[in-house]
Amino acid sequence: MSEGDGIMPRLYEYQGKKLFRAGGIPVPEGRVATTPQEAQEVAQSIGFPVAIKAQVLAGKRGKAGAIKFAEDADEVYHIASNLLGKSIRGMEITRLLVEKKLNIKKELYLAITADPSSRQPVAIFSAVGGMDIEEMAAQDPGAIIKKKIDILRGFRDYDGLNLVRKAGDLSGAEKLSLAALAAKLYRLYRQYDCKLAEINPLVLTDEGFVAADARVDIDDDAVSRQTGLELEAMEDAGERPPTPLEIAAGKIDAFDHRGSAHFVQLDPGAQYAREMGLVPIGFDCVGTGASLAVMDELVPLGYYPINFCDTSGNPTASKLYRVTKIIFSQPEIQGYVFVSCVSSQQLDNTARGIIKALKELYPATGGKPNIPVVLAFRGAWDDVAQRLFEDHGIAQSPLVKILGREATEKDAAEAFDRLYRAWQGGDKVEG
Amino acid sequence: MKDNLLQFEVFSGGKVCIDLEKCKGCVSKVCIEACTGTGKPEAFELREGLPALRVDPAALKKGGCVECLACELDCQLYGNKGLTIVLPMPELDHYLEAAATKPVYMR
Ligand code: SF4
Ligand code: SF4
Repeated sequence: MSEGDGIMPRLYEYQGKKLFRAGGIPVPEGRVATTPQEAQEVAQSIGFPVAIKAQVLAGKRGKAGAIKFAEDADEVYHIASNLLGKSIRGMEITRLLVEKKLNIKKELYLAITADPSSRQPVAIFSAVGGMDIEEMAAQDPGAIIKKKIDILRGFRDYDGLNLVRKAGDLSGAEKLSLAALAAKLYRLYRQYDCKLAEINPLVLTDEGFVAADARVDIDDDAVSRQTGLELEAMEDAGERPPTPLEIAAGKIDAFDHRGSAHFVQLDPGAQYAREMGLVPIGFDCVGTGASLAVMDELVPLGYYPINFCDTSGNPTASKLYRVTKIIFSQPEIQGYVFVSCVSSQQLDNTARGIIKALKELYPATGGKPNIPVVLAFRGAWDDVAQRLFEDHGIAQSPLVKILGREATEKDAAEAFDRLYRAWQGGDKVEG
Repeated sequence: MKDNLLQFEVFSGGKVCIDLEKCKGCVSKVCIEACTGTGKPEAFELREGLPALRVDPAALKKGGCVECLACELDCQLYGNKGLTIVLPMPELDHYLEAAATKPVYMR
């Protein structure tokens, strides 16, 4: 890719369209602009009328006022000036895609995604496009046609024809053209290790089918082999761009598959926690099930984990070290809870990673933190893990509680609650 | 490599560095046994009274060193603080430099 900066597992529309163009899927003529003047130049070079589309990772951009149309250069300048620098759902608009406005005869939907229940890719088609697939499913479930794809056999034009043949108001030639597009979209999905390759809407114009929008989500675990895309390894943050801490965390697993360390900020800035009157805390669990169970115990007690983190699959101690430093770097946290599920991973390694991080973050106290910390080690080498915290003197801090395999999720949450209250009452860290 | 510095790279990016000057004054030489536990690669041996690599550094970098951090933490507790494992995180460093509000551990 060009455009200067690296891209993330969820691509912007303009990045997705570059892949579409390269894969033989028609897209409107257009280019990216970062200033109103540049937007005017692009519009003049492709001809009026044009569409001006804010490049943010948010759905329903049309409703949010992020897609506008212009008939002349003055209008382009005015719209671009209004959009650039503004925010859509908390995301700042820094780029606009200026494209030739399409003469739309019909809107359709086409996507290839992963079906987790059958563990196969699935092709999804609807002769009604332009709204999101969930809305479509609610309004007219019969309009959505799905075909599972045998990954060994692939997806050919005739599979595409099977997918679209029930679209009643299309001609035979249009169906053939759609079928070929579906096969191209599948090739792109496989080539770039996608989780989702979606065209919504796929529009029928006088010149044939054109991808009016592009959504391409790359599997974040495939980033290391998608070297041609110059992808930035980072955690999948869903509908918003990743935070700097998530970008840092994404590097941990990028090339090292010895266990995993997934970190996502659930509440960056802790605004939600504050609004709800909850105490923001840092959080790490071994296993997502344990995470949910511990969160369920913490929230009623008044504590809100502002990040999710799962360090499982027997990660190296160095992964725990790195991710613990990231969790503690969230400025808002007023405590930290680590709980392992009853796991078979080497918890002594987990403990060493956390200890090294604490010792570096708190050199003056030999690793004793200045916020309440609960660590529950349950599973293989849990006795060694607990002993290490004793040996390094961290367990002796009044702000630290180390629990073993007999502890439940509730015990861990209640232990944290006691520590937090004592801390608020004035317990200090001994040097 | 300096005579008094023994170092090798690790798979995730970073280095294990041993200051052999400090090792001269170390009684326990605990790093040797720290790296002989279950599933560990036994990276070190004593040669003329000092730690030396008994495994090719290329193999250690390939994942032979499992980055358990045992050698470093044991050296800190029972050795002469000669062994340091440096695990860079440039993206976190940039974030911290630019952060308007400092994290709780810096306060
Ligand atoms: S324990 Fe530390 S100081 Fe002692 S020999 Fe090993 S590396 Fe050197
Ligand atoms: S980090 Fe672990 S595996 Fe690597 S040299 Fe030290 S003790 Fe050995």
